[in-house]
Amino acid sequence: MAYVAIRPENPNFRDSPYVKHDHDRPEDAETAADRQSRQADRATSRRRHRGTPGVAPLLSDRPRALRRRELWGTAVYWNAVATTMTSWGLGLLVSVIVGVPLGLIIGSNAKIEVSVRLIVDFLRTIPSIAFLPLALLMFGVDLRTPVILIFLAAVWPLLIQSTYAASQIDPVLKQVRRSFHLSWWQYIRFQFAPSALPFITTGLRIAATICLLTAIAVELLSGAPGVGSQLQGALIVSQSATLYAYVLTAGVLGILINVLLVWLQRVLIWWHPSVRGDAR
Amino acid sequence: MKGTSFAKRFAWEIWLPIVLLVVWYFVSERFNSFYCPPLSEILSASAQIWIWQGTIDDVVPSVVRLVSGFIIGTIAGIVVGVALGLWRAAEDAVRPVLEFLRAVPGVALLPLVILFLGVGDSMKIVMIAIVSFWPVLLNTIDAVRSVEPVQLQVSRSFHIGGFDRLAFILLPSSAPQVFAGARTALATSVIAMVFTEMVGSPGGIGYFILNAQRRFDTVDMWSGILVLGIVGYLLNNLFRLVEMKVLRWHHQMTSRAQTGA
Repeated sequence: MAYVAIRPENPNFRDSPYVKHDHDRPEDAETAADRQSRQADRATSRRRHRGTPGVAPLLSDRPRALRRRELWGTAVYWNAVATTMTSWGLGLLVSVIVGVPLGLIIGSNAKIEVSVRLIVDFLRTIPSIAFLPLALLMFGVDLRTPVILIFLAAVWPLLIQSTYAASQIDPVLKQVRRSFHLSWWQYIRFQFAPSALPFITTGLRIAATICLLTAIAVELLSGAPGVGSQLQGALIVSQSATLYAYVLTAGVLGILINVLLVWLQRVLIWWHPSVRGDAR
Repeated sequence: MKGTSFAKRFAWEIWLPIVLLVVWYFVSERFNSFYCPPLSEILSASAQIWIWQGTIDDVVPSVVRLVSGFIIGTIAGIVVGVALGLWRAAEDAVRPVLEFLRAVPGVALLPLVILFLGVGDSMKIVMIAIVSFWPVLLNTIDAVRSVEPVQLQVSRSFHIGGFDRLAFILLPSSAPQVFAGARTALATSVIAMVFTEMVGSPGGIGYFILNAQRRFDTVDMWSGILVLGIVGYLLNNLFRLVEMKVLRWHHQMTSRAQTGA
């Protein structure tokens, strides 16, 4: 995991036999037109950076196409994306299953809330990445490692938001429940859920972003398969175009997750002023 | 729990952590697992490591990097945020780019930053600054946007412009939200600190933990994690103190509004 500083500006580096260039790869069956366009691109990029010799190799050879066209059809790319999203989804699921009920229990009683406050404050300041070495020792490079670390990072916002959600419920609602003889289910459906859900969905949005961040960080550090380890691999062999392509992929995944969560929020709390858009 | 005395409140806050520590102490003594060594060993190792050589070698550089990166990112976020908040056309123009860059997980940028800056201190500080930049920026834009319109009108009729308007109207009224963004930024910059130290050059708490794992020294590893938690907790409380001091007028105002006085 330690870095050997590879100097990309070393002119001999590109011709080194140890560096496998992307166009040497057999799965890159490129057409003549492709090759021609790439050579043209190379020429323009070289011309553009002529004044600054050290910088040109750092910037992508083809910032425009970003190698996506070639990566697009490969199993390597889609496997990486699928693995990252699998650990993202599993991690988020476990965090929700543990964090939300626990937070609701903690928030429902002021004495419990005060008792656990110090512990929660202490534990949530430890970045979950700090447990990566321990997880690697215990599980190795396995799906469990990213999932557990994602859980350790994402459970806190969910727990804290659910605590708020349960503790801010209007006490009058309890009296209403008693005087109207509401059943347990009616209480959950018509009183508890409407006042708690906005908080929980906010926690969910924060947690979903943290999940992606942790997933990529764990893959990058531990070499567990996924977008993160592809980034790391591209860095080590200094294929800047591939590197940019995966950074772009990570950004697109981030946006897609955000869109998904906003949609979910819309579905879950469609009646809330923040969603209806007439908030003051 | 309002109205109870300070001592009683403190007792309620402290009892569970103490119970858990005691349980951990005795249970870990009984089951001698390789992954979770006895707490007594961790504590004695911690005393040896962190008083004071380890603190000077690892904790201080980490905290210096964290604080400098955090301050750079926060100030950059405030400056750019105020500019974009005031200049609506520019904000509309760069909004899509901002949304995209914000969605890129900060850690995915690490290989790029390494490509440009190597694995030294500058890379770590820049990474910490990058991840703390976004929450502050977005909160500042929103805060500058939502300044009370009457205040702006008053400032216009009294011909308060330029620097005075910035220093006495815009910044104070956006400060609470900027602080909310900075609090999020602090949490993510601690993550970035550990993360960059694990890939970067030796030195720092993150490197210490990783190195202990490579030596299969779980006792040292746990003591590193404990110290990391303590440092994070102290930094959080320090931030809260600064916020209380800077925003005292705001807290007084909101509590007065709540009591109806």
